[in-house]
Amino acid sequence: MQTNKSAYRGILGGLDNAAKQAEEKGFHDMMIIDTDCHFSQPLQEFTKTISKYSNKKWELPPDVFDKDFQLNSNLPKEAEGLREINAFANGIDTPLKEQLTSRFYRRLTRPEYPTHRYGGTSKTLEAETVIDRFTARMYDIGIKRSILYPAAFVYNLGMLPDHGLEVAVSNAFMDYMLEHFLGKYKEILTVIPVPANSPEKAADLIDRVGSEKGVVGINISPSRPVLFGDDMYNPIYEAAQRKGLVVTVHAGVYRGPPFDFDNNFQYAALQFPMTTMTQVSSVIAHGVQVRYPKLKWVWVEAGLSWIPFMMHRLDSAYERLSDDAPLLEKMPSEYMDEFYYTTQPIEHPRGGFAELQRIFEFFDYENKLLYASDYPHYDFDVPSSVYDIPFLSKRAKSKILGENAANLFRIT
Amino acid sequence: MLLAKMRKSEITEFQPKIMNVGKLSIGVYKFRGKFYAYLNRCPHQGGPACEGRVLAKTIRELDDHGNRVRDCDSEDRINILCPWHGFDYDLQTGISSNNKLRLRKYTVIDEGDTISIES
Repeated sequence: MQTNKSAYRGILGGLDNAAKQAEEKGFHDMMIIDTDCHFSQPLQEFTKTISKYSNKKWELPPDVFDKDFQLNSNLPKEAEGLREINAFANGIDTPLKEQLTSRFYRRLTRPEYPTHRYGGTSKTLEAETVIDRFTARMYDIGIKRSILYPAAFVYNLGMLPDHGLEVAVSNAFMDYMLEHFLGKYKEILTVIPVPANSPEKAADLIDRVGSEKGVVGINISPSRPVLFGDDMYNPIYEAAQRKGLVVTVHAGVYRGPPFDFDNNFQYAALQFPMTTMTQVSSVIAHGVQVRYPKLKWVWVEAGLSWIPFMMHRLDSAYERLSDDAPLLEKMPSEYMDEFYYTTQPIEHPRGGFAELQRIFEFFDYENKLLYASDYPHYDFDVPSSVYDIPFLSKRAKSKILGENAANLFRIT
Repeated sequence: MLLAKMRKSEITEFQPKIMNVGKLSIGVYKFRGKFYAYLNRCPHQGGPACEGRVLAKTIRELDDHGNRVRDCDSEDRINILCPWHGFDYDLQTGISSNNKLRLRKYTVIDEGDTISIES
């Protein structure tokens, strides 16, 4: 890491307080692993990579994508960029414009994120510069390893009617990561964003790159027409099991009733847990864990308070309708016990930490909970979000902040 | 204890002046001729609360039948938004919208052309 601290410290609204917390709380002496953060690819380079896989003409100029996380300068333009990405990812011109120009997005600020155009120039930073600053900044706040998920437009591609494009973008993303980062930066890890609408091609991709350095799992975006319990996905599960890769499901967006929320308050509260719960119910009902017992599942960015709800609902339904889940050998909630969950966004229940503790105790939080930041999104959580929870033992904090992830993803 | 003294002309309406006093970082605000000072640290996760945006609270106007007429900016309630997560605090009281958190507030003494900030 050559990046000088001046490249990211002292930025208004930045992470300097988190760096102070890291020093005060001894994060540098811990192995803190961030199991969910995002990286806005400098897209000029990425579009070069994708041309290997697709001759489809990209209708949006590359710099539209650069606006993804450059939320510090010109608000209307930022919102416009996000709208374009969402319209693109959903394959339709969505009515999101009104939402995206709302106050919700006016609140987004991640001024220190490295793709921000420094010094008012329009020059986009090189991939290596971005990742240098990213890893240096994460280290600065106490995070030693980061599992990078592709930016939003990649993990929402399952909504596109053009399945071939999902295959092309997924392959290109992995090529791009391998060319620039994986195996070159020990801090940077990733999961393969599999093109699950084309399961055989997804399995090919898993076989092609699944053993590469820095690849720790696959991610199946939940935003797609067919639910995860369907047999169509079996080639993906077989391939992941064959390669010993963890299956992550990063919560996503879905369009169509009842997911068409009419404001962002509902969207922020419900969208991610709803897409997650739908897929959890499918995985359990169709016995995916029974059929692929070696697969380990991580449910990412849906919060935690849906877990007790789902355990209650699935168990109650099973008592009456067990014939619809003939493969199950135990109660649905016991299959949920096998899952891993990421912390962010940790809820702040009105009953305070006592109420949060009750939610945690519905599952084996000491061993199954993984710290995640979701940086650089507006609702990211610093390591203190776990470290400051009063009912956690020192041992539990250390496991949640890193050891659990190190064991699960075999990160050293 | 006196923490700082400054000329009123140094502060622009709605634009926080961030100042360091020893180890403390403090944000000083002006709103309708009055001055407010807060510790630049969000009680949520420790973000630099005073470095975020200053936005009016949204007010929804209804007609006699409960229909939305329009959404507009409040003239009285101005929020300080923490740049980390968007938690908002009333510029005049430092209390969050959910009434659960409050920014550490300092006393501001008006001395004509200058103000003093005291803890």
